[in-house]
Amino acid sequence: MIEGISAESLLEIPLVGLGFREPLADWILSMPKEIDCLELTAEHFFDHGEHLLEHLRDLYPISVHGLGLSLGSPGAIDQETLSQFRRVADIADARWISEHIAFTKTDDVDLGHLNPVPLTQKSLKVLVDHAREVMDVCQRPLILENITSYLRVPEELVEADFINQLCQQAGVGLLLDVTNLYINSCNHRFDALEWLHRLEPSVIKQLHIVGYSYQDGIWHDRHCEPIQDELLELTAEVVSYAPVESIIIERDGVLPPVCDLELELQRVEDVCETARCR
Amino acid sequence: MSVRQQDAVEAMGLLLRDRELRQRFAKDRHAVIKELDVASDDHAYLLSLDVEQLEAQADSLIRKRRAEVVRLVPNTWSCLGKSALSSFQEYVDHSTWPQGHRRHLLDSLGFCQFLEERKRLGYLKSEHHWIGFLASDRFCSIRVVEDLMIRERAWWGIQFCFRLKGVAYRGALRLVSRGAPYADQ
Repeated sequence: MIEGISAESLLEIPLVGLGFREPLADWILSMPKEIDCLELTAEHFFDHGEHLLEHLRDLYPISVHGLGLSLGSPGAIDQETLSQFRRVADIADARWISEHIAFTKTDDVDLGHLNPVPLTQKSLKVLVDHAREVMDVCQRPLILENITSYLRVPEELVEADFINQLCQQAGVGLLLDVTNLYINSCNHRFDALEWLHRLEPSVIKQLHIVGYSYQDGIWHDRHCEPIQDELLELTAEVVSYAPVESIIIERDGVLPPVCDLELELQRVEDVCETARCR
Repeated sequence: MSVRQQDAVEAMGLLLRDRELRQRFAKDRHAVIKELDVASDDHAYLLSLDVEQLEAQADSLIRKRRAEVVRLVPNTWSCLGKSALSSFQEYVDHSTWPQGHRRHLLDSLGFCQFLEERKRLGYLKSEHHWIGFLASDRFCSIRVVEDLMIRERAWWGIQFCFRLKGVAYRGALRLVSRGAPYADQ
């Protein structure tokens, strides 16, 4: 599923878009020129929104992002959640689907948010099996995202090697969250560029980016800040290193005015153009 | 008959959920690993976890839950004033974790119920009604409420919630002003 890198793929400018949020619906439906593509969160459409999905599908290239499949949990994937996820991906005619290298629940507890999996061969097998199952059921390419965590899990495998093996064995790509990489590198004191260059460039298909928050000496991923310059610099490094196809800005909470989002989209696009023309 | 042992992820899930278990884990990891019946090939992993980082991760899960509740019941949170954080922590300690893709809605509903049962100053019947409606499959719901928040004043009024093409709306007919809702506590 993941192909080698061609020179041409490093010349094309990635599509730049947004994570769809309902309060932005009117603006997004007006098709502003700054939005090239959209990412929809599957869970937001589990209960309603079929017409909206169909409408958005006709306007933009769409990818569908999951939060609750918990691919890192041992045991079976929740079939009801997977079936809903597939339904949303089908209606949206998703170019690809995405989830996380993480667990959110086990048989005993639903923690509701992302947590790191052990970087072991045992976890790798669980993720590979679950990723294959998701692709089999949804019949679409799958990419998996690196998460941020306050807990630095002990490593049997180096994280980048774990991701390379996961992508190779399961036939999935990487959704590289640039902000998560930056936050982890600050909180756990490692070199983000070294981490990046240990990855096989061909696996990196999509990026996530949003500003980080900083409080009491700790970096946080709250999705509520404008993108800082150092994140744009890291994005430029990734875009010149790997054949990234699209970049999604993920804002949540109190959303900024539309004019700020337009500027932010334009800034990311400018960074990509410069990086690809180096 | 053999019972399946817990693996590292399952044990971490329990540790992240349960503050008291984490405290015991910090004091005596071997005892907790034995108590949870963790498979032997996962012992080394759990023994090498940093307990401060584990605590920080668990705190972040509560913070994320709280942020969603604040987003869904902002007026209630505001009216609770300085007691909001401690009330939420008390609610977390006395409730099970909500499940599924509607967990934030269920969490907000659970928090409102908790405040109502304990007759906490800051509880807003109007916001509880709205969240209860969102969490239900009902087509419409009407209720007389005494705490409609309009321009930072509380009003007696009739609140109505309804669904149109799957989208939920709310409106109200305000009757009599009750003045400022609650002084900061």
